[in-house]
Amino acid sequence: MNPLKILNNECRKTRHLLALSAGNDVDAREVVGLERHLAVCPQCRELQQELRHSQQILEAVQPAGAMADQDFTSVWSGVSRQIRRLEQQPTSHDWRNWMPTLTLAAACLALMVGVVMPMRPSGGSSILNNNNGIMSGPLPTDPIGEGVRPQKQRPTSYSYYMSNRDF
Amino acid sequence: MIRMSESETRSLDAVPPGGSASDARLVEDVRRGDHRAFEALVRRYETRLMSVLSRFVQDRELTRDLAQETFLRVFERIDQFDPSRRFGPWLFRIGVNLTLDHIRKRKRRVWPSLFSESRVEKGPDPEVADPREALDLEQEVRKVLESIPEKYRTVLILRDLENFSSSEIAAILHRKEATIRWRLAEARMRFQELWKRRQASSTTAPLGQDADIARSSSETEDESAEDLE
Repeated sequence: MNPLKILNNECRKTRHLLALSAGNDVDAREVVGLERHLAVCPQCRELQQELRHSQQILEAVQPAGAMADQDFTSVWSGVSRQIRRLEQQPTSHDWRNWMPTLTLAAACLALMVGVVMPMRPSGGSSILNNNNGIMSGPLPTDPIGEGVRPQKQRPTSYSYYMSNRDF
Repeated sequence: MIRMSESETRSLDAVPPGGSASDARLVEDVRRGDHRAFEALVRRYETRLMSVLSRFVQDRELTRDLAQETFLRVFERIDQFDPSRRFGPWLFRIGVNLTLDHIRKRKRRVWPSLFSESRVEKGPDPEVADPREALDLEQEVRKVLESIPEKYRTVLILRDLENFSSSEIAAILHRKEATIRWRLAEARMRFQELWKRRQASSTTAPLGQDADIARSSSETEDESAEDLE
């Protein structure tokens, strides 16, 4: 294998270790490996210098907006006020206490609706609500109740046919 | 790790103020309805919490509001806290998540105005001095930090600016320590690259362009690498 390629692979592996070593975040075993590589790799030595420099800037500078310890005043008064307000909200607590009961009631209601509704005759409000199939109400296509024959309704019995045929 | 001792100077489990009672004991008392115990917890952690949150938002009043909201959420969810775990990381997780959510929402609100007709794209005016020259080093660093993707920036801020250890960050962000180390290394490399470019071509390439490069470069590579961990 090409020795230059081996070195590049080694560099790739040690990039992260170099960054960690800039902030002293490597252990003794990792330091030994790094030093061995740095002894033969000028590019990595250069990168190490750059990382150390940027690390020094980062650690030395207090970015604008960061609060110093003396800038702080206690937040306890605000926190205690909010806690008191929180505890003086009986409605929300009452509502939460009623939640299991309300959930159970809603579940029972849903069950009842689910069981009872399918048992009701589906044609309860249908125009064919008689057992013999004779129409008793106005037809759906007849807004003024004149008894116009439905467009796609097929006769279901002989009596229906007889009562609606044209003579 | 060499820097562990440094981070211990500002540990998550600093005891005073709030007396010598442990966090676990105070949490138990809060659960029993003792408001004084909660006050002790607030006073124990508020300075550290606001210091951390102020790294993400540059507005002091907003930092206070977020800290207040964090403690209120802690109070509301105190029954959900697992007493076998440490209280500090749990508190900071709530605070950091709240702050990041706030930043994301604010960004989402900004998008429509970016595309509105009232906004006209302007090229750089050669007669006007580059405003970046007026920015001091602090602002420059902040600008570079803002252009790093959130998941890397968060780790970088917690580690290098707030001196949390990798294990503490892992507990705060609810990720494996190996993932945190990967993100930390990636964040430092991106910062270094962006800083170098900004210093080298401060008059030619705008930072936004660099940031786009930083965001897009090896993003998929990172994801797959993190998945392997």
